[in-house]
Amino acid sequence: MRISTTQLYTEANRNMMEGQSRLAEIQDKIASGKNFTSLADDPVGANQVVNLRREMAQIEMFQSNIDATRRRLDLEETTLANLNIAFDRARELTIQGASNTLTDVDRRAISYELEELMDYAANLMNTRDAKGEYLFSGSKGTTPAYGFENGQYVYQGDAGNREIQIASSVYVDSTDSGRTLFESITGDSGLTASGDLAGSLVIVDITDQDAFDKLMRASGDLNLSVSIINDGTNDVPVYSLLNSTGSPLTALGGESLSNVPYSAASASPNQISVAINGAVLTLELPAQASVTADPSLRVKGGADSLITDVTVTDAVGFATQMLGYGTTAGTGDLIVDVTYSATTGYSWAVSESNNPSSVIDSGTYTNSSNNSVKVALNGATFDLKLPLDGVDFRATLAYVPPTEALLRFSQEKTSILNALQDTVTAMREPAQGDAAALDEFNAQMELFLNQIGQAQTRVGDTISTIGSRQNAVNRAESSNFDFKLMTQTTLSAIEDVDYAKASTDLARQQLALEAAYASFAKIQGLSLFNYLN
Amino acid sequence: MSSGLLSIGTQALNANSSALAYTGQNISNVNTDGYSRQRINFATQEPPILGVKIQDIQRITDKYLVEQVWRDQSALSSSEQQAKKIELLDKLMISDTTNLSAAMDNYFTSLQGAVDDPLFIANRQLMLAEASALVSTFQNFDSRLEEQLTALTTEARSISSSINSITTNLAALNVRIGSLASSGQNYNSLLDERDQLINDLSRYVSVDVLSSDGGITKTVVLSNGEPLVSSGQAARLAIADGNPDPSQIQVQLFRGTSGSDITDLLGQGELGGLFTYRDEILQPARNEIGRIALVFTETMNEQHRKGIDLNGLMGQDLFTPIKEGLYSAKTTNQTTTLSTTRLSYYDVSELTASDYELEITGLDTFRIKRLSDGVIFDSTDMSARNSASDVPTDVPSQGSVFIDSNSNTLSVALDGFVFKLDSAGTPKKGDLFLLQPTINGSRNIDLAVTNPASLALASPLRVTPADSNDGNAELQMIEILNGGTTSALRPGQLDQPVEIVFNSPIDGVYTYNIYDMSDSANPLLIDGLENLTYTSGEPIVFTDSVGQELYQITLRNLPKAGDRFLIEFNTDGVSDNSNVLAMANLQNVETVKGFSYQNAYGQLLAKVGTQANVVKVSLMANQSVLASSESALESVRGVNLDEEAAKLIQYQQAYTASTRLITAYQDIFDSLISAVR
Repeated sequence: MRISTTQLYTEANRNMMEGQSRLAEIQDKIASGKNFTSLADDPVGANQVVNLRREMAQIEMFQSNIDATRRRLDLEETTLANLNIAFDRARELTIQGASNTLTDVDRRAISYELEELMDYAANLMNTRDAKGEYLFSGSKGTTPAYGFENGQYVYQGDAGNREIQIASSVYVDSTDSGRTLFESITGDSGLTASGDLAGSLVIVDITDQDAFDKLMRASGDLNLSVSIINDGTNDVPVYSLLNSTGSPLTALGGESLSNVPYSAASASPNQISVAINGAVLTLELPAQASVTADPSLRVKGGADSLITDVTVTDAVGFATQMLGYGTTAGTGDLIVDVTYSATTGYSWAVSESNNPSSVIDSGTYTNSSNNSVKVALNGATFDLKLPLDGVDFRATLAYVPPTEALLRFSQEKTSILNALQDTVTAMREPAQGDAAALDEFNAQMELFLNQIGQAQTRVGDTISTIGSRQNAVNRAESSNFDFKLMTQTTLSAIEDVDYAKASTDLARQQLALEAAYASFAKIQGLSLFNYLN
Repeated sequence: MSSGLLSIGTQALNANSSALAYTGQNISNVNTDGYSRQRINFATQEPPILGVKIQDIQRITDKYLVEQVWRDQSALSSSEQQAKKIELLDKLMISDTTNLSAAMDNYFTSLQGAVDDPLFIANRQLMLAEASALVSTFQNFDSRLEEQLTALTTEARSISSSINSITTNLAALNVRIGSLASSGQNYNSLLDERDQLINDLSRYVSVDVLSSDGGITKTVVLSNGEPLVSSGQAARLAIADGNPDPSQIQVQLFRGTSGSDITDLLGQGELGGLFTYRDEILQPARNEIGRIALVFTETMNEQHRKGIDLNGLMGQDLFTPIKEGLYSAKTTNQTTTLSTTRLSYYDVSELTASDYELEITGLDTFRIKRLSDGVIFDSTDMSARNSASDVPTDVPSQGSVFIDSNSNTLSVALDGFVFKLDSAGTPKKGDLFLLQPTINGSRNIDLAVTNPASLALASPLRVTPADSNDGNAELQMIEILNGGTTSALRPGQLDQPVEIVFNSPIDGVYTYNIYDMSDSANPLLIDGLENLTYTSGEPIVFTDSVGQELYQITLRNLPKAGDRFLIEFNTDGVSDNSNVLAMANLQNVETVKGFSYQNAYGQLLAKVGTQANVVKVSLMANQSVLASSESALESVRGVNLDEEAAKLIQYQQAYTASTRLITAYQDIFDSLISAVR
């Protein structure tokens, strides 16, 4: 093949340039320590590096979360431990003070230390963390956990606790709210009434706290109502006390508290006592004449738009029909049924739930021009706006008494601080030589020992959950560490240069370049002109 | 006869001295670019005359190899150009300081700091600082890409002016060669010069060369046959604003006064490479970054609006909402558009990183072409809506549309964006619009909140179990479903605090009632919310007064009858971290069409990297292809000094021999004279 002189030089030049650029590339790798200095070197690797770096950043983030959580848990643990020591001392003092041989002066002396302990405990409960945030105030970190209002310690925080992520799918609570921690003393149970008959609940006398609690925790909210019905000869007022599912409560005597007649003198209040499990309720039921509202109907568990225009013409007749009297059963709830057939359209019926075969009214309709129907009951009428969505439909219409009240179970919780305060007050009451006062004093001491026991149990339980949370934090830390190591290794394998390989490459490229130099030196010396004289 | 010897000698002397001269020409041009060696061809004189004559001076080259070199040169220049540009982008994306993913990592780390301690003002400040750093990273990234675009315009200008001067020279050379040829003079070196110029031209743009007169005049045409140089005429290239998008410049070819857009016909060469880089790498990268910015802004804002700040107010937008993308109308459109025309979004998570072209195809019909993959969406396949406001709801994958011919408006929703065209007249067939939903996302991202106390890190709601609760039921999660401007929580209060109260179980199934606690002493059963079945871990959805879903509460574990949970506004709940936790969790949520923010960025890295790699590989391939075709051409036309040395000796000796012919003639003549004397 013919070779031109410039070709020789161009080729040699190109070879040397190429050799140099390869050398530079390897040198770049070795100097930077990175396996690729541009995306083009390893596009897939570059993408992986982004992901791995993100994972690394997340792990580091988890680590700082772990540090913060640990700091907070440690602070909480120390605070609770100190609180426990204070409680121990309070218990000691109480036992010491409960001795009948002490004088009023002795007890007063003890009360001072107890008061100090109370202040100390209150301060501990209002502990702030390093950044000035109240540790036990739940989500209200700028509000002290306990304030002192009207002579009582009042919890001012909320029930929030802070969840912190410490590993890719592990969250721990880094705080506990004072509400769950310190509001540990169960106060008296009771009932709170609301609704227009609310005033009827005059006294709730708890005779057996446990039995009453048990009853209420099975019943849910109670409903007290009064209606006027006709017993066949006279109109009489009746009351019902139903549980949250609408079943009547049973009185201690075995009587079902459904539509119970009470004598209704028109002038004086009608006080009656109802004994139920664990409590005696004193009710002041309204005189018949003062029940002026009409009973009504509502859609049970559904939107009220189904019924409109409930017109009551005879309140007593209507109530009697729905509720029944004596051995005569009422209709119970009314059932509205709509059945749809693509060929014949809609047909509807209103029937009695106590006697499903007894249909009060029924009919058919086809479209929005005739889906409104009026249903007549004894003493009342109402309009039904029936659905048009082409599917079968059922609704239950419930009787609404003319007057009723919602009775809700309530149980106050208070903090050990208030119990301490009560004890301090009790210790300062003169009781020396007064048997009745001493009995009262001893009862208070016994109650307090019980309460401080509850408080210590709660604090102790929490300390142990802190321990288990600290363990979770430690576990997360060590697994994060392993994961970090693994990620780092992977990252390094992708990203970092393999020095052994790079230096071998360097040597090889160097050799190639040197060979190019050497051959060029030889070839460029060759020329025929050198041989011509 | 003897005078014949003299004339033979003279001819030989002339011929060989010419041959020596051309050998000298070859030797002296050994390093001249594009020089084709020349060879003198001798021939015997026509009989009966004896002697030698110069037949011709041959220019030794290979037309096919020359054209091969031109083509290869174009291909190489294109790859070189792209490699040069993409390297900048590559370095930009891999560098730690401009790496978006690293900025995101810092931002999310600062969020976790706020999760640890939402009340600590330094944590909030750090969060704002990192958010602002992230914003700058986005903006810087985009401005670097824009700088590239500006540089590209300047470069295109300078290349086109180089092309213009080459084509002018080529036209002039055509004329000169023509006149030399007609007067029979040697114009070989001009041919070399012209080939060399064409070679220079093909460095800038792909050309084909035609000749109808055996190579005397050459017509240089673009790959589609559009002539750049035709005998003595040269066309002129100019850079003009793009159409429809003025920022995307185009190359126009002028012959006479009217120019035509030849951007798509440039083929390879530096100019072609420049536009390939712009259209296939730079713009898609801007679109992708813009999309990430858009999705990031919208999803972060949405979550931030669901929280409350240190003052108990509902969160505002954390980042300035990016409400509009870009659109541009072709200047040749027959109707102009009104200022109410806009490109907005209905669901940023559906956005693609593509531009779209909307073309009016007839009365009340149009079609949209997604430029990234060429998929065409015809308006007749779209779901027709009854009003413009209906268009962005429940958009099917083929899009939804509302056309109002009376007011000349058209609304179309597709792939996450809504384009509302409001034109001054009835849009005519052929009218064209370019839609760029995401290209300005990265430029427009900005931080809206500057006061650390305004960071909404807490949940607006608080759930408090009643003191008397005895069951195990507890709160699992509060989720705000509507944090928008219409949210009932926006005034910083919950109009209707509610209480969930459990009833006694029937057959082991617990039901609950929901009470309105506006008057806490007088709970009122809410119409219809009675005896609802409780399932542990199932969210309970609450709606506002107009029936819009507002929030949902998830409780878990078994309650007891009478257990109550009060839901109220989280007044003073400054230490609550639930909202910032939800914001932090967005880092791993697949918000960008199946990818998390950073995964989407990683995808872009991989894409640019792959393109850079492809360019690099083709650069190397094109280098060796050009090297081998150049080498093949050089081996034909290049000067070999050894060869010329031999020729020098050869012609020198022939010359010496020729002088002997003359001395021989003189001797003969002398002998003859002396014989006569």
